[in-house]
Amino acid sequence: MIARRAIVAVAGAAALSLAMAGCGAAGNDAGKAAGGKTEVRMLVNITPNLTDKWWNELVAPFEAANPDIDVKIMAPVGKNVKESMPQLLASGDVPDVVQSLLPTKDLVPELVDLSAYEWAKSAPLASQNTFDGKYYIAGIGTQLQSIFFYNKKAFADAGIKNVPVTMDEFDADLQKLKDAGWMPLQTGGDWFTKLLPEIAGLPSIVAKNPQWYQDMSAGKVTFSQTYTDTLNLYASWVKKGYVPADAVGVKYSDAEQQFLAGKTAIYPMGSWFSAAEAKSDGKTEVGVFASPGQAGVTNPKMGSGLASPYMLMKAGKHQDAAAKLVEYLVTDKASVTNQLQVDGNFRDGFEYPMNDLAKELQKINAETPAADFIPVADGFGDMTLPSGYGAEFNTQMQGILTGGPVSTATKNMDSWFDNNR
Amino acid sequence: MPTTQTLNNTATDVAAPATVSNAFGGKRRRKMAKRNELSLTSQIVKWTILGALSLIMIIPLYIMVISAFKSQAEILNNPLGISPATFTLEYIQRALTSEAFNVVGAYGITLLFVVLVSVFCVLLSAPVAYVIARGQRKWHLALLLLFVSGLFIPSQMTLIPVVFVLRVLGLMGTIPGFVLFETALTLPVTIFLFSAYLRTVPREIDEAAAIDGAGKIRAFWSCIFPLMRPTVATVVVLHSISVWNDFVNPQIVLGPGSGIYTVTTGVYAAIGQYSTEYTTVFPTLLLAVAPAIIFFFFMQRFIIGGLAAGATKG
Amino acid sequence: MTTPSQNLLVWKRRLPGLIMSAPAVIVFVAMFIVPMGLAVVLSLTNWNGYSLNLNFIGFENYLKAFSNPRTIDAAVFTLKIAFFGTLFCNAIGLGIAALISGPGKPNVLARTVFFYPYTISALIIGFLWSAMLAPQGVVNNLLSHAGMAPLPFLTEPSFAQATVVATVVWSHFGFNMILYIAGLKSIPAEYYEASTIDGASRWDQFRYITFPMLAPIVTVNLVLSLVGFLKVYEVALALTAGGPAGSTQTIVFQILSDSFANGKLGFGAAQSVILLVVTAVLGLAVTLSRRGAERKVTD
Repeated sequence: MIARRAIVAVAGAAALSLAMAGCGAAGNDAGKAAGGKTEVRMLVNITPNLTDKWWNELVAPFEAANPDIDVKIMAPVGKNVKESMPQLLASGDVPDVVQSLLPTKDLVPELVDLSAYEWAKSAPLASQNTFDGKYYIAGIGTQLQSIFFYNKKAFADAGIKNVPVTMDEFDADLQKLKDAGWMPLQTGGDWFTKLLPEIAGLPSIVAKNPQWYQDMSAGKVTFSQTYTDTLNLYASWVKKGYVPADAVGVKYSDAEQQFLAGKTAIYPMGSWFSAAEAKSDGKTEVGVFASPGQAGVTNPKMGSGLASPYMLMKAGKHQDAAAKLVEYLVTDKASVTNQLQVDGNFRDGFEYPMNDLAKELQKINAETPAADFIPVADGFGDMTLPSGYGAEFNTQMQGILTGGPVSTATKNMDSWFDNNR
Repeated sequence: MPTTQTLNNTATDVAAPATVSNAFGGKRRRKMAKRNELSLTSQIVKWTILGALSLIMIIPLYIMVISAFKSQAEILNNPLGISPATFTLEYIQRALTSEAFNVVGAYGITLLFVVLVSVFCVLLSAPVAYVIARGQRKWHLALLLLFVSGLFIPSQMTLIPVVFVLRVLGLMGTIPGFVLFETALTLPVTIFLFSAYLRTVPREIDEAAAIDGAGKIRAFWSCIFPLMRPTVATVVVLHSISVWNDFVNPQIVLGPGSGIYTVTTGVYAAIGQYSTEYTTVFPTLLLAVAPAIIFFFFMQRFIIGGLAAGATKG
Repeated sequence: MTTPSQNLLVWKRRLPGLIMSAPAVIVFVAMFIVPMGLAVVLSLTNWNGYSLNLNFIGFENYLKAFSNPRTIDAAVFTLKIAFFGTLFCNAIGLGIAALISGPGKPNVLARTVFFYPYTISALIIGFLWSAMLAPQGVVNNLLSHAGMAPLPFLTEPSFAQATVVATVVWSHFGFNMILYIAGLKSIPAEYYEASTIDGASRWDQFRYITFPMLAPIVTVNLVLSLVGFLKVYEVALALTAGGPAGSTQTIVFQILSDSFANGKLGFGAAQSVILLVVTAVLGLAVTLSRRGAERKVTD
């Protein structure tokens, strides 16, 4: 009796839930190989500039030209693509194309060698990004990463006529801005706490030691030896109140909004910010300057990166279709221009309507000697640091931002290097 | 009349005790009278404290509900209030039709998991608990220890290696694989509770069932199992709540590639980096929490009672 | 010596038991014991989860775990949660249980109010409180309306740690409260009546009747709380994402979001083995040490 009632109840619940699950899953199934289509899955980072919607629109012309291929955009399961990869690889659930990652020693065995493809060899920064002489990624352009955007009105208010060209000038300008009633530096929590100290320090550190990456990875120099001065400077800015209170609670999109709303004077960020600036209402006039050199450094390097690299996974199921997709993404004029414009990147021969800010960036890009471009965070090509450096560096910088001592940060970084070299 | 006299006497005894000495001193009479007074003040104090604590419990829920219907500016400027003028369904609608993740669509899958795991949990646990409860040999004790050890093994320890086991079985990222893992996680507690309960079921019932000529297995399901109703109910309720609310296990086992999102993994995917866009956060949270709250509201006496019963029996 | 036909009889007798136990044992071994063994084996390697080269490095991962400042900080924080969480959940749970264990609608309503957070996912509770305690969130908003400075609930490391503990307690004490109510209700009323006649005060009653008789329930609550709070993850993930500056990373956060996300499976496995040992030791220690208290009850 009880058994029968229970069985009926359970069966009813199961039927109901199967029905509801069917409704929910229908949306997902529609993407799967319907009618003999090949499904190519691409794992991408979703950012305020590169939204889910934009990605789908980006690949739509490709899908139209290749009716037998269906592109599915996958969002990361963790914070970003980098953190999702171990899980995906471990579970055997590997996408066909992965965006935004650079090859590392561990990852290379899982990647398809692209050396046979002409479009990979002629992609921007291709030769700088080879691994063991082979090509594994193709990007769409370059981004500048050690730059400061500034509010032109703030500089005018503070009586700053020319952008600073040395760190000492920069430091003095910060005080002038504060005295004029402006919050000098826009920084925050999330993943980008590290940008401010990195942009302030790295160009000079590598200028003094062009082999810094290799030496750090080999243990010839330590973090505390090379970065302590920069971090002391950074900590002094925090103490003097040059950063907003509770900055560590500010998220990436909020920081962007605050700067565009004219609440802060200087915003350390990569060139992709220009795309967000172009979309804004333009009430705030924004300029940009390269990160100045510290004492004794006359040619600070320029942190840069390969914009939107794409790689093919060996374990992906449809390599040919995936290769076609990546070829489209890095060579098709309309698609490349779209990607450059939306994310503030640059590439010779691919012009897009640029506003004043973008033109300023273009100028900095053109005027920097090729040898002065260096990577940031974990690095690329020959100049790499142990994987995970960027994330650990970010965490330690948050420690300083919340008032912790510089010695703790450097000690922890040294110990991280010891454990991860 | 004797009765009234006795009554009177009893009344006097209680109300005005005289000389009986006791272990706690002889100030009874005064204390009795005092207690009545204290009762009123202590009642007021008690309910004030409880009231204040209740506010701390209820206000977050209240804020979540009303904020789902307000604009970002309203949420920031007027956190506690809501008026017809500022009420809007726009954000709920957006959450319902979100491309990033569909909370309501996940209801079905999550409910399916809850049902499947509960069914399998009971199907697997009851027989073995019976064997353990009735068993007298050493290996029966070993069996119990095997499952009870699972109580101390954190599921996070087995979560990542299980990925490889499921991969070998070809069940990674599938519904059966996930159900299998979740069911395994429920076995220790369930078997523990079931075997403790079955020990209180007299053996005569076993013998009665055997006399009827049924095989041991048939005998168990048709005669003994129906007696386990209360503890089965407790267990089903406990596991339903934990499976519905589970986050880590579906996140890792189902992963992003399978396209299967439960309510909690979906919430994480939907909110993720938008955690300060309150017009996304609150409607998503509300939609995710609504079924659980409604279920709890209707079943609360049952849930709370079942838990309490399980606790005293265990 | 048994004859073959006697052996057959023995197996025939045992067969139903085997059939009844088999499914549970198979599933449990496959999904629990085998992975646990795998975790132990993995902890002795430096595997990243996908590459083909796998090196056995002995106890290096364990040595690293004990010297890695991140792991140590996470372990310390997890122990803080376990200790303070258990303390407050049980104190508050028992205190409130004593107040509302009686019959009557207000009491029943109160139980619902205090228990409902337990039915909500820890992840959602984390997101909810994260929105409420954000620098411009509801609570700081109200504080500034009242003329006070905003508090750095989530943005200052020690404050954030306290916030995580408070959120965990907020969502959990209802569970402990229910168990205590069940325990309180099972104490026979005659004990109280007898002691009332003897002139016991309310406090005396609590000390000499209630608390001792609750001993088994107290043990259950202590063990459940301790073991459960060692595994806090979702609250930390949703409330603070382990920040600021990694101050609210729990040990499970380290295992899943640090080791696993960075492909350091061997290291993560070692951390989880350590967690297992600590859980087992603490659980056993509490259970055994309470034996004394429980024995007093039965006397």
